[in-house]
Amino acid sequence: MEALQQLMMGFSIAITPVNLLYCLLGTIAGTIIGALPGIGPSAGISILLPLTFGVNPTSAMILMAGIYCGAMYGGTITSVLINLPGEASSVMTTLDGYQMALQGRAGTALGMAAFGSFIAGTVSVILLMLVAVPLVKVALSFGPPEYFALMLMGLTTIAGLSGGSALKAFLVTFLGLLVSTAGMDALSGHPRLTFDFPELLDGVNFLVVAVGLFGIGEVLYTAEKTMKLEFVTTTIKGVWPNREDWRLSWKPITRGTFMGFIVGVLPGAGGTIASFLSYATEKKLSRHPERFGKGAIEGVAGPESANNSSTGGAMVPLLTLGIPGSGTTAIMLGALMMFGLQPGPLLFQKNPDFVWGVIASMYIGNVMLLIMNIGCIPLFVKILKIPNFLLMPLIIVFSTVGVYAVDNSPFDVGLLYIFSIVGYLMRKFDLPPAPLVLSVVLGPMVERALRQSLSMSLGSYDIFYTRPITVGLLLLAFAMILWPAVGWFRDRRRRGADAS
Amino acid sequence: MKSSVCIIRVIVLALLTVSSAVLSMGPAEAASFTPNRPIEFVIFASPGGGSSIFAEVVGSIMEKEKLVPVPVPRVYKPGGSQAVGMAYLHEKKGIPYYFGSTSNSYVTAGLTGASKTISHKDFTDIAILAFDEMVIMTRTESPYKTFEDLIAAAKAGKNIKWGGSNVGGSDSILAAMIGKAAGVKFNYIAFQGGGDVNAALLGGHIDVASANPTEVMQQFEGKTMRPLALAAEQRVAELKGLRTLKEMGINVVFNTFRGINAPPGIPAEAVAYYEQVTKKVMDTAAFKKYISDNFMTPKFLNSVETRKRYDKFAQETSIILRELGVVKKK
Repeated sequence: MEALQQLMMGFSIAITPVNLLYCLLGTIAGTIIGALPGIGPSAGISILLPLTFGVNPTSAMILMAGIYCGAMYGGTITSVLINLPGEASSVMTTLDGYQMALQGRAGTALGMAAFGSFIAGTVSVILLMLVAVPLVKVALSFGPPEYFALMLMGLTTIAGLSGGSALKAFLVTFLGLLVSTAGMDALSGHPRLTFDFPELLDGVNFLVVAVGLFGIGEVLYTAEKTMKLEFVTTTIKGVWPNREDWRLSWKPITRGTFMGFIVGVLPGAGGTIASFLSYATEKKLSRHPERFGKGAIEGVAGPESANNSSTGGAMVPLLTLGIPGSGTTAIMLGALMMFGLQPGPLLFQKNPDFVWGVIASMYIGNVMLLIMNIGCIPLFVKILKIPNFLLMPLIIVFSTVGVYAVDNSPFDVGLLYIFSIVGYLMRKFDLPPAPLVLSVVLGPMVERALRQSLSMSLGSYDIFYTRPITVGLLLLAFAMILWPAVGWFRDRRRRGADAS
Repeated sequence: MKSSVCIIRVIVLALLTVSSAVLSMGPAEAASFTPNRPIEFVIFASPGGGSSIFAEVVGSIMEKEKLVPVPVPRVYKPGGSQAVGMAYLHEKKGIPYYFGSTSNSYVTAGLTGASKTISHKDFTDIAILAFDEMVIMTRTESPYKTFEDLIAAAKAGKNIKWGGSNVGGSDSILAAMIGKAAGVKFNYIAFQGGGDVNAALLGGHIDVASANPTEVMQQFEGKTMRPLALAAEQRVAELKGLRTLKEMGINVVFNTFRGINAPPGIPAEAVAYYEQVTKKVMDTAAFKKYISDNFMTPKFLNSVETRKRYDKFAQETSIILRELGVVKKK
């Protein structure tokens, strides 16, 4: 009951007019940041952080938590409406969300995403309160070998995501892995594939790749097809998810919530991987995996819940140990120090008003976001009414501005246009873009974890089969590879039985 | 139509007046320098890190205490291990309205492959304001109770895993310096950032790591980590019982400096003016609070001393960096 008492104290801090205002500002800014291509929550907080210098730490943190949660909602909007993931963790949403929009079900997709996000966001804050301390112990037992196994599991599911030819998906995955090797090799300090551009030393930002491939690439492809400036003619059917939608979605939302939370707690994994694993899981568990990629609402509900749930999860190691659980919380950690707070295991004891104020404001923020999003869906959906000849240049402008704003880098804008052309060509040759983006995200993580593991063990591969969690995850990865083969055999046997 | 032409005329006229005024001020300025336009404070990294906190604190003190009569906006130019921001500042040759926030990696960027053509020698130095110490620690459950235990284990041939940021960064330089001085070899494992290193240390995946005190002070208080040694010249007040490496007979002193530089070729008067401003910043209560909050050591080095300090640091670390295999090939 002590937790409840402290939560009440937290609410008393969070509902002061100033903090409510910061929470509202944060959620609005977050929604916009999430919707803008290129700027995700971490870049958004980076950009706004210097402005909060001098504000009291609790209010500033409430603002940042608002941005973090808001961005997860905002990213959905553009993913569904114009196939443009506003941030990395909504890449999965484009696969089925955009298809739903093309079928006139954009409102339903956005509505389900908002409800799923709200449920997941709220449950993850409850989990943050209840299981933070025991869970973080488990998370710490994840070392480089465990991360290697987890990321490898992620990589093996990529091929199954796009629905089309597995060969094409693998081809694109390897292209992505090649792109991901560019930059300073952290383990030797040498530049690789940087062609003497200092901007490439930090590697290729996956947001640049995502915005290029999905956003501008799609615009170029559509422009070529419909040069006669057609208006979008799909009629918009029901905004609210119906009973059937709920029946299909409640399980993905539940699974996505727990999966997102657990992945979020792991330092070194985050919303992107959570949404990605959720999509892969839903597709594997579905009785009709062929519906995925063609507008399955489960493909929106699951990943959207997972990426929102990961926000609560990522706060666990940050608040209990002073260790970031994701890229965004890593920036929040820096912010805490900027405000003169020492992050660490004593934050709960030393600054209870801060910790509980932030937790309470995350509840409030989720409510605000639900109301805001549901209320605005009819407005958002109007984007689809904008004629193509206006919408297309607008997408290019916003993509360019968004990508530039991340690091104030003109170089990234150039890179964006290169990937736009790559995206256009890929669409033309029917190559799926999602595996490329995901392998750019996962590639460096897999590589780093593998090499860290091997330097830990002084080059011995024993480290991969002497640690129980690693073995479990690696077996799962193999199962993922073998799964299609099992299905193939089963089909053949069934067909054989039918024939006889 | 007529009015718009009129407006344009007024604007052109105004611009001409202002620019001629600025031009005519040139020779008069030679005697003393006062900034008359905003000073851009460039940070060669992303917000949230040490050099960003330093620039935000110093910049806001200059503004709030009216130490300069103009605003000091902070501008982030991250990327390329400082090289992107350095190139940006270097382009502003001779313009005394730009600052850069310097730290160890600013000097090492010129030594490793990160910054191909420019190094710390290609800028105007203003001052160093403070030093950030480095502490070496392990997790509480670790069998290594003292630093001597750790060295003894390494000497006995045990695989001592030292985690830190990328090879070529401060952590790896410190680990290599200690290894050399103590005659042992650590198994250095590079992580993406301080947060990942701390997580790996707490999880027991690595044996030892280093950090600025402010990053881990709470871990010591919360008894999740144990400090083993300090790489400083002297002990720090907040960690009374913690011995320095020198006291243990390991002759290694390594710290992070926090300083300000400017584009190449700015007038000497501007340098003198900014040196004075920097001194005044250091006297403010806000700066003193920043120093004590972060367990740092305040120390003013003027333009000339700053350059000497950079050169000394470059000379010391280039040997280590060469041994780590990351030095730029001439």
